[in-house]
Amino acid sequence: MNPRVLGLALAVTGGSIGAAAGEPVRLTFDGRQKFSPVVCNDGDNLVYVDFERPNLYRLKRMPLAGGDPVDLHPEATTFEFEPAWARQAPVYAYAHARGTLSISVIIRRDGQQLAEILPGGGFDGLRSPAVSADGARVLYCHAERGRQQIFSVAPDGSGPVSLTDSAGNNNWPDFDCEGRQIVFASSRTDDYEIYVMDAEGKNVRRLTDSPLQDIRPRFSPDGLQIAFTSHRDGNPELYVMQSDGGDVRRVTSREERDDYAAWHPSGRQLVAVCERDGEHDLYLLDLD
Amino acid sequence: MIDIGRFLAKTCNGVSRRSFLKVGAALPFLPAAAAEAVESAPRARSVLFVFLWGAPSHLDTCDPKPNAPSEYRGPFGVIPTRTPGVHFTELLPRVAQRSHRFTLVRSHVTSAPGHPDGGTVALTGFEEAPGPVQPNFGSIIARHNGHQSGALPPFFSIASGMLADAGRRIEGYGGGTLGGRLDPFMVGASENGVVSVPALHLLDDLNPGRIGDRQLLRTQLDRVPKLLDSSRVDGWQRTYRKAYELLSQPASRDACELTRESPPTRARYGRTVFGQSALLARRLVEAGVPYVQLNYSRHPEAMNPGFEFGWDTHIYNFELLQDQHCPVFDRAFSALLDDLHDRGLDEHTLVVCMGEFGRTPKINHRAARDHWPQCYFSIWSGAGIEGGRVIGQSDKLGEHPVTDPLSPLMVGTTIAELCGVNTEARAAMRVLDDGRVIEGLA
Repeated sequence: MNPRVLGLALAVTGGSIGAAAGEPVRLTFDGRQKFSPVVCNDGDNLVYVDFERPNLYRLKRMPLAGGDPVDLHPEATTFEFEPAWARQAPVYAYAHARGTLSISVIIRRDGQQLAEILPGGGFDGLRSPAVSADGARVLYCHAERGRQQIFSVAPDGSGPVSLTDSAGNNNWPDFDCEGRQIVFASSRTDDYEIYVMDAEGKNVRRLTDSPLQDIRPRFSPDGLQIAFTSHRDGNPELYVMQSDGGDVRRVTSREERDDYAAWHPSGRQLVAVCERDGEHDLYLLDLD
Repeated sequence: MIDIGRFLAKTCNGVSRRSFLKVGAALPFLPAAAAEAVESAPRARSVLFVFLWGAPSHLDTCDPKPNAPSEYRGPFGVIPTRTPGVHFTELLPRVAQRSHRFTLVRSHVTSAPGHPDGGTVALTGFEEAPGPVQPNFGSIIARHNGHQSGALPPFFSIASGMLADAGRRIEGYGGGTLGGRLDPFMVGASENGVVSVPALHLLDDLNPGRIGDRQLLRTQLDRVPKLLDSSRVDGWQRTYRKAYELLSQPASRDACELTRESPPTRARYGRTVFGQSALLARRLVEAGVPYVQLNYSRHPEAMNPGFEFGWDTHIYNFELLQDQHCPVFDRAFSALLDDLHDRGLDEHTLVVCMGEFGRTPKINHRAARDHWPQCYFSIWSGAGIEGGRVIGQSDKLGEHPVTDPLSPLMVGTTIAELCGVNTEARAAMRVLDDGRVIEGLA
C-alpha cells in the first residue's frame, strides 16, 4: 500500500473508522439504490454509483469519513457507472452511456480525459474497468461471439491486449497492489467462481468452488486478501479469503443483501452497499 | 353519489360480505353491467397485473436450464423452490420460497416480437394492426366490475407516465374499442413512497397530499395555458378534472397515501420505485379497485439514456438481472404475495405477473439475450389459483413449449373468466373474440 495513503488514513481515522468493533458505520442516508463504491487514490474520498432517478446512474463522491455526497461529474448528461480508481495515482475509469445501448469506458487523470475506449457498432458495451495501482494499465470487459473477455490497455487507450479466452463471462477484474496479479470472476465452467491470473493473462488459478455464484472480487491494499460477494448461503453476503483462496471468512450474515465490497485503505474495514430495512446505503464494516 | 342498491350475503364459511351498487352522478366511471355482477360470485374481485415491461429472460429467472450448453444456460446457479422438482435461478430466492402461493406457467408464446406491438398483445391479446386496437384486459374488467371501486377509478396503471418504447406508446394501454372512458388512471410512486399523478405534472408542488389546497391549485391552474399550446389545453383539462375528482375525495386520496403504512410494511417491499409501487397496488386493491396494472418501468429498454431501466437487456443481461432487476423484483413481489395473504386479500385478488415475451435462450454475441416470443413464463396467484404447481413445460433449451402453447389472448380470457366476465359478457362487449381459458387456472 502507498505509505502516504496509509499515513493519511491513520492520521484522520486512527487506522480505521468506526465506533465499536464489529458495529457497522452508516455512511449514506438517502436509502436509494447504490452500486460499486471505490476508494479514491487520496485515501480520503470514495466514489459510488447512485441510482438517482429511475433513468439515471450518477457517480457521487463523498468523504470516506462521512459527509455530503456531491456529483463527481456535474456536467454529465447521461448515465455513468462502475468507477475504478488507481490506488497510488490520480487515474480513474468508468463506464459511460454514449447513446442507445452503447457504453464506452472513459479514462481520466486528474479529472482530464485521457481516452474513451469505444464499443463496437450496434448494441454494444464495455464494462467493469479496473486500474492498476500506478495507473499504468487499465482493464475492461467486452463481449464478442457470446463470450465476455478481459482486455488490458494503456491509460491512453492504446495497445489493447486480450487477457482471457474462455467460455462464459469473465468479469469484475481487479489488480493487486503491485499490478502483477489480476483477480476476476468467470462462468467458464458453470456459475461464477473466482480466479486469479498474472497481469499478462497467464497462470490462471481457480480460488473458489461453491454451488452458487462468487463475484466482484477485490484485492486488499496489501494484496494478501480478497473480498468478494457470494450467494453460497442463499443470498448475497460479503466474504474475505486469503489471496490463495484459503481461510474463507464470512463478513456479513443477514437476510438482506450485502454486496459491492471495497477495501478501506487501512485494510481492516470494508466499504459496501448494504440493504437494511429495504434501504440501500454505504456502510463501513469492521473486519477485526 | 347515489346508492342504488345494497346486497348482504353469507359466504360459505359464514362471514358476512357486502356488495354495493352505486352510481356516481358526477363521475365518469359508470358501471355498465352492475346487475350482472350481483348475480354471480366471481373468484377474483380484483386483479393485480404485474407487467415486466421489456421482457425478462425466462432462462435466467423462472425456467433455468442448468444442463444446457454454456452458450445457453448463462452464469447463474439454480436453487430449489418450495415446489418439489421445480427450480429457479439463484436470483429469485424469496420468490422461490413462495412457490406454494402460485402456479407457474412455462409455456407461453406470443405473435409480436417487438416492444410496442408485443406490449399491446400482452395487454390486450391482439396485435395493434390492422386495428382497431382492442381494449386492455383492465378496461374489460373495469367495464364489467367498475361498480365495486366506488369513487375510485376501476382501472389504475402504476408508472411514472404512459408506457412507451422510445417515442412510441403501447397502443393497448387503454380502452381501445371500449372507448377512452375506460383508459387507466395513471399514478406513480417514488422510492420514498411519494405518489404522483402524471396528469398533474404541469402543476408545481401539487401532489395527492396537497390537492386540497385550493389557493395553491388556483395559482397553478392559472399557469397551465401558458405552458401548453391551445390545442393541448382542453385535453389536459379533461385529464386533470378526472384526477382532481379522484384526489379531492379523502377516501380515494387515502388509497394513494403510502405514508399511512407502517415503516416495517414499507420496508418489506423495499425502498425502490417498484417496491413502493407494489405497495400502492396493494392499497388500491384493498380499496376495491377491480384492476391494477403494476408496471416495473415506464420504458422497456435498459442502458438507454433518458429511459427508465426495463427488462430489455440486449446488453448487460446478466449484470442487470443480478445487480438491479432481480433483487428489486424478488423483494417486492414476494412481499406483495405475503402481504396479500396476511391481509386475507389473496382470497379474491388475482395476481398475474409476466412480460410481453421471453429472451433468446442462446446467448447473443454481446453475451446477453434478445427478444424471444416463442417461449416465456407467467406467475398466477390468489383468487383460488392452486399453489405449488407448474402448468406447461418448455423444451430442454427453453426455446419452445413442449406442451400446448398458451397465448396472451388466453391470458386475458382466463383473467376475464375469473372476474366473472363470462362468454356472454365478453360477446356483449365484443372483446376477447375466440379466446379460451387456460386449463387448470379457471
